[in-house]
Amino acid sequence: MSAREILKDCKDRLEERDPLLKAFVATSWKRAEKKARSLDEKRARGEELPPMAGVPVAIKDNIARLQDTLTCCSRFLQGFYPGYSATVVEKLEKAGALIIGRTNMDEMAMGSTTEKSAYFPTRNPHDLGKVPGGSSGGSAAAVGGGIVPLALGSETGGSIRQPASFCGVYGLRATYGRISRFGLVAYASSLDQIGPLAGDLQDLWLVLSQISGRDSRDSTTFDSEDLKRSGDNFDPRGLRIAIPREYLEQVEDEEVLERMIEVVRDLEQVGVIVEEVSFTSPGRALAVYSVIAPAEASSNLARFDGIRFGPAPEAEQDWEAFITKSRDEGFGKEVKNRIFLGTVVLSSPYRKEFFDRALVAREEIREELHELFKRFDLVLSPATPTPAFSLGAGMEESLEKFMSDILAIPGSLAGLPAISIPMGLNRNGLPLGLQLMGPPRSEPFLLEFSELVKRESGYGAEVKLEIDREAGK
Amino acid sequence: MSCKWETIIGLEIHLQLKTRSKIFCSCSTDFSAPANTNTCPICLGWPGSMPALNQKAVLLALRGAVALNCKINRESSFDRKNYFYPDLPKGFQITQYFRPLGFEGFFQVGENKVGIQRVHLEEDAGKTIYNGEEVEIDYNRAGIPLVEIVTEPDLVSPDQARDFLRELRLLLLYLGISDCNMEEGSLRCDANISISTGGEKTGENQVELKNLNSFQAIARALEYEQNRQKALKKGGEEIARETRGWDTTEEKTFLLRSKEESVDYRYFPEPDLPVLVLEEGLIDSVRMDLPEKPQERKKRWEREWKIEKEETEVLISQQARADFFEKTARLAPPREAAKWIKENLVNFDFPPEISPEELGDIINRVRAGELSTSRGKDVLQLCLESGKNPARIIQEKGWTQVSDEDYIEKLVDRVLEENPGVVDDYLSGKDKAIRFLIGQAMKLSQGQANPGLVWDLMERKLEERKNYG
Repeated sequence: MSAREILKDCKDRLEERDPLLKAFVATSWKRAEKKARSLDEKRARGEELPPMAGVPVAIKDNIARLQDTLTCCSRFLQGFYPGYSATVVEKLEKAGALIIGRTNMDEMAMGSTTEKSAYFPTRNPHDLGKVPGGSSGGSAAAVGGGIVPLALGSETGGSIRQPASFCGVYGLRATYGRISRFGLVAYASSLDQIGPLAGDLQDLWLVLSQISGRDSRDSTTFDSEDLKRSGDNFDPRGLRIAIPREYLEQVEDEEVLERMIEVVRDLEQVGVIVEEVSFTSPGRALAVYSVIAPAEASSNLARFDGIRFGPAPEAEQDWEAFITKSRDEGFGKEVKNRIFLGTVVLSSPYRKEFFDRALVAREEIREELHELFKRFDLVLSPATPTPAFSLGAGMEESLEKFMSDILAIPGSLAGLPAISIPMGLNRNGLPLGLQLMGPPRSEPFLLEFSELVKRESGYGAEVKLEIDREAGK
Repeated sequence: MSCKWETIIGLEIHLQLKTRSKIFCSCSTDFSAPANTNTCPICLGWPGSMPALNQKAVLLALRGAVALNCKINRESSFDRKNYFYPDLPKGFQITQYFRPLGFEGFFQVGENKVGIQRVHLEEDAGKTIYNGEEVEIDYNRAGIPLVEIVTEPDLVSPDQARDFLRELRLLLLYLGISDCNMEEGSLRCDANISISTGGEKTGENQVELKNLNSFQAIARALEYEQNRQKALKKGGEEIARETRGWDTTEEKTFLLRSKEESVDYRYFPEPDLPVLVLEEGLIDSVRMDLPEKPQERKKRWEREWKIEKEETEVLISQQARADFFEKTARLAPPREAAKWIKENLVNFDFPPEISPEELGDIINRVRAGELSTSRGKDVLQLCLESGKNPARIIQEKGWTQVSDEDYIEKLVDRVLEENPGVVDDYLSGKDKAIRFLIGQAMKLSQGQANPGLVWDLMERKLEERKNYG
């Protein structure tokens, strides 16, 4: 197949499905077609093709790309062109990928449902009445809905793994510093990571190897020469897997627990040793996260002042009033709430009680995980306590939304790699997900173990190739 | 009741470091570029951009911290200082709050040892220009590397504060880390001042004076503030903690804001920059590489070369001039060299159109009697104008001084022979008549005879005639 044919197929699928899914907020077909043509010409000339030649990829709307708008699905950034590309975008383009568009997200990556987008909510490809998760909900729906094989999302505290789990695809959060954040609009810089979502583990390997590595523009990155597969010698016998009791206590959905146990049995069959352990309550980690993430966000989002970009209220003479009005007009409620919360926890009467304590607790959690990985190769748990919930669920389900990231958060705080992998559908046809978390830089092992899980359990990505138009009505 | 007032002053100095590019991006630091041309997504705070630390800025700041005898944090870190201002692109300034590069240093000025609380790196903000109704912002300055130097409140008078800053500026210039130009804002100074009656170290209610942009402003503003606070205290009033500005035309300080409404900067560690770790040995190599401090150099000249203080002050005040003197003093007698430079070269830009070797040559010729002092000065002047070397000028002008005794004796005899009347005047007691005779001799030699030798010989011959008539 030529790159142009692949692209044409992708475009057809998008035109057919995206009106239902609402996964995309912008497309860039012309540039993708130009790129596809040049790849086809290269191939016709018999030249060697780059590793991702002709692979259609979608990127989340908080990743900068030259000539694209960068809106983070916020009113604030309507019409904003950053004029530069994120390092990951440069790398994807160099690898021959066809970037076809930008995906929906919760405004400024704050949310777990993609309903906080300033544009529109995205729907779950497995049930159009359910949310795709978030904040990378557009990327997860685009992959789970079969529009693209690969998409980039971003995580702060579960924003890749949770939607991947809700949409039945693979989602990887890499070790903090493996993938450059240059060009990713910051939410909470000490937690943010870009990561891939894919319908196939091989694709996850491929994209990870292409976008990783030290970047002079992001001083927190490290060399990624360790990303090598061990080949066919992967021997699961004697591998030690920990399941934190406290994680399971967060899971009330019986089907989620049963499915996980079923997968664990399969693993035990091939010699993996699984042990239940005790670990800091994820509730504590969530509390720490709920202080640190908004605190950093309040600072990261201070640049949105209406002076260089964003709403510029004409009537205001006084600059303080100008900035206030600009931010009031540009930001949605969730973003304002988090900025407010973050400002409070850093302010003098409260910072000792909140921010300073949270920093200490974060170190303790990091240390505890470090100790755990001295004894175990992996930590295993469900990816989320429940499958996807209903769109516009309102108040009664708000706690559920809040808690849907809870199993992802301890690893985020410690900067550890973790993957969300599909484990089939529940009785209502909604995907269930399993989470594997490893020590720093253990991505190759995580991916190889994921292949083992797939092989032994028989569960793979649940990509919807037919979407029932009636379901969403 | 009388009581003794003590003035307590501390300074905060901001210095733009002399790097080619900004502290967190590769934009030029060129001061003269048109507004908003030295900018990029990073220094404009574009969403998604990230800082990458300029290592040159670290080295320059380290040089400053080491020269100020600071303890150095092998691991220092960056923090965010959060506040909104139109010329602050990111809504926060990256600075070093929790772990500065240098701390607990000191700087000796004469008898005074002034403590240095901290020396840290940070980024400059943009510049807000008020243009009538319009407000314009130039982001060229945003991201220029700054070093902040905070002194302990060890200064006790406005004059001492000014002198301290003068000496500090001189040191910083010698270190080559900043242009230290107060007018252009590459050196900016704020001062904290309080008055106390007891022996306490800091007055509780200190007043901060912002943007004192000349040495004069510093002394005057502090003087004014000292008097204002004394008057308030005498009247039994409390001094409010506040930030004040200095009005240069009215010569008054004025209220900018009360400390009660002070900003909470919500400092926290900058997550985008890793801990700044200084390599083993770097601090030592920076220390080894320090130039001799101007204050020490001056003392050495006074001690070893017996140069007058009045002259060393002048010589030290420009590094190029001081270096020029140092070289000249190694080729000619140092005291002579100091005198010649102070008297003849202070109004010139250094390095001047004459080399230390050439000046040394002139001085030595004068000392050897080859040139008279005033001829020497003429030669120096011509060197500066033409760029030619002294030997060539002397040759071209035919200014070689003749000290040949036979020649001078013939010259003197001829003058005595041709002016019998004047000789008689001298012999009859008019001592001054000798001046005319010497003048005649010099004229005959076209100024080339060594005037000292002419004088000696003339006097001897005349005295001989007097005695043996």
